[in-house]
Amino acid sequence: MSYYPLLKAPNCEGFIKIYNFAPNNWESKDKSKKYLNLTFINNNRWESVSLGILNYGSYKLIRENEIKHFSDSSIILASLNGSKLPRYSDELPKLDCFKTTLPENRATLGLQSKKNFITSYQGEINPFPRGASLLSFSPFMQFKNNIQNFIILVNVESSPTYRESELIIIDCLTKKILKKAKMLSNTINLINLDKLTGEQRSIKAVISKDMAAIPIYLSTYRNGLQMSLEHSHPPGSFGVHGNRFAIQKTLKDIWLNQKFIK
Amino acid sequence: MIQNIKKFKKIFINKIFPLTKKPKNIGLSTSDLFLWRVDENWETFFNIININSLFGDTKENFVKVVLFNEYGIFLFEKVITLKEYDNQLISIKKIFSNAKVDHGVYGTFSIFHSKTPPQIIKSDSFLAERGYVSYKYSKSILRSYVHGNLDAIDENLAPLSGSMLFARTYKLQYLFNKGGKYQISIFNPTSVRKKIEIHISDESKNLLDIRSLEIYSKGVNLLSLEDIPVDYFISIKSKQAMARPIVFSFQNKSMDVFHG
Repeated sequence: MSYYPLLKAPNCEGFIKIYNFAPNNWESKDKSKKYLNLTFINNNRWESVSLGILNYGSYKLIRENEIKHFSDSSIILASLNGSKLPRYSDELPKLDCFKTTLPENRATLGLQSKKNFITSYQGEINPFPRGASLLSFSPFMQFKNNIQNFIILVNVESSPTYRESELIIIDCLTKKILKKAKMLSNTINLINLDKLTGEQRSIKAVISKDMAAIPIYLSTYRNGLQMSLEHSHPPGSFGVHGNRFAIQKTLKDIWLNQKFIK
Repeated sequence: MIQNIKKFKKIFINKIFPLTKKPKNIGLSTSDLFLWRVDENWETFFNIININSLFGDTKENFVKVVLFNEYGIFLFEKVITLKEYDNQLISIKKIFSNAKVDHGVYGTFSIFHSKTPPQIIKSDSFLAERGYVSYKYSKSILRSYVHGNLDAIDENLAPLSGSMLFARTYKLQYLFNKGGKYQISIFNPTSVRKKIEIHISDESKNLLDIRSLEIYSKGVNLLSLEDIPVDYFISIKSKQAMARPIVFSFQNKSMDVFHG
């Protein structure tokens, strides 16, 4: 089973709704109770605390404001596990809970604005290999008055360290770099996209050569009166059947080795 | 030993009842079935990106937007030209207003790219349009995005999703709030009409209600859920390989949309 990150964004409170039941009746028959855990980084180690037991069929709402006393870590991960997680560990603990693939076992990951608008998606995260790369083609940005656009890059790696990487956003047509930003491992990286110039109608690529992340796009109208939240697909999703990893590799070979990328 | 039997059983079932069938010819492109909603309160948009450009094809390319009504009946198609690296936002409402057909207020649509990049063919794969639909509700300024996720249909309009011998249950890992207003859309990307049951249960898994639907091939059903007096879960029982819905959650005069 996967981890579930607590999202963060300006003028919003992040939340996770986590469920102890599988998303289908054909992959998992596990009806056991589970330990509900929060895991975060403390003094260069992963620290896990138990929030109690979640019985089969039940759920728990975890709100940012209710748990922030545990940690000011740049990432807080919820999880379910058959046993209590070790209090401290040098690697992100591997979970022994049921796993499904159609779809993956997910939680509701959301943001509630101060103006009480709630946006969410169904998601999960598994630790990325150190040094994996990121390539996201984003059509999500909405440039209008009173709309702010952000990309939320969620990275989790097994090692409890804060590694730094450079993120660049390019205009695929002009090959110009529109933005450079720093991103950190084991962090909810929030990057404002409002000052992106470039051709209105051209594809923008979000690239990191040595750090993978889930790219989630947030648009917010009048500081949270209304919001839109969605993630982009990995590049291998341009294909169905066959070797999708080869498709992903082809695209990464094309876009990560462009001359403008140092 | 037991693990191996389970693994073998899973491989066998996936082989006999695949989530997505392969298109019959190499080079055919595939698409999700996306929901369109068009009336005085709704507008639907789609970002079409020139996927071939991303693989190094610098020429103009074309896509075909194929629209169906809620019963999966073909309405019409429109060809759109894409420039190099184009990210073109199309409005389904505008397409309908030019086409002047009787279309109803919701239905499905698919996007087929005219060419498949050779790198995708070489990978024994098929181009898949799983892209990004956005909806405007009421007088909102912001569009709310949701991605596609099911390889539903090929460009010969052959549905690709598998049917199961026995019904299976897809359980939404989402808690619906009491008194809330929701709509869920369920698609039928198989070649035959499907019966669907929506089971509504409270937090203790007590069954509150069952709603029965029939969805035509390539069609969609939009089910309203409102004024249910307790928090609740839903599960979807059908012979579809995976009946994964889109959920609209209404909040005053706004809404949020996500994949269930």
